[in-house]
Amino acid sequence: MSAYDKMGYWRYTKTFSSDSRAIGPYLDEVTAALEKRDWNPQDVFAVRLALDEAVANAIEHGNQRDPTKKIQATAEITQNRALISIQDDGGGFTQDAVNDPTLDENIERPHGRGLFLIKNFMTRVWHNEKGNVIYMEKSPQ
Amino acid sequence: MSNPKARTMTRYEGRAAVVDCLDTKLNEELAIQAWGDELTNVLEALPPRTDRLIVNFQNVQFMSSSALRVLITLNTKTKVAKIALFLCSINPNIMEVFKITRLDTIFKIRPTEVEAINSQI
Repeated sequence: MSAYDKMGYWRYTKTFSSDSRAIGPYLDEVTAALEKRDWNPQDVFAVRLALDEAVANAIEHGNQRDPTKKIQATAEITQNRALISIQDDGGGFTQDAVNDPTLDENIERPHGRGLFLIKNFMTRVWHNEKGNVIYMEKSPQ
Repeated sequence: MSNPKARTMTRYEGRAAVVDCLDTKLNEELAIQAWGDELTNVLEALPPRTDRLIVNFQNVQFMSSSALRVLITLNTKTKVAKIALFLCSINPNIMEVFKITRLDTIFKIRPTEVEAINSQI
């Protein structure tokens, strides 16, 4: 774990087990860092949502809920930019496997909205080549 | 052994059952599962003549897609039970989640509890 504050720049890396209960304090730390840098509530909500969804995907789809596999989250935050990365221990992710949850045939399906929300709430989203790291960037509005 | 924390509180207003969500954040998996179980229990134990179930989100400031899953499942169960499901008092950030996912087109969403109680079914 590393956390420091220098000229408004804040970076925080933490490694979790594949357990959704472990992410709560990290979400709170990131939220507090954004608020401290005067991010507006809508953008704070957007980053928190994207981070939460990315960790949920990493636990469920990346690590297949294997408690021995880890998730590493890194947040870099300034007044003008948030860059979040979530890495899992899984075999990778294929974008082609994701359906549009807003289509009529998918809208009442319970699953499949996490990545869609991330892409809609963040400014830029991309993966590494293997597909086990998601990068999410947000510029405040 | 202590009782598990209650995630909801239910009131009855005429023909409506109103479920207040007590958590401010609906994103942690086990808490959402417990919340969903409580909503299902309310639906399955509705008094006779109840015609609508209203889920009041006044206290909720944050919600992830896991909570949407619970609501979609609840929506299906209410259709089978012939009970109208209304959602109300959703904060603007969470409302944006409903709009982006187009779930605002399948749920009956009202700004206030009073409007949900008085809405036509």
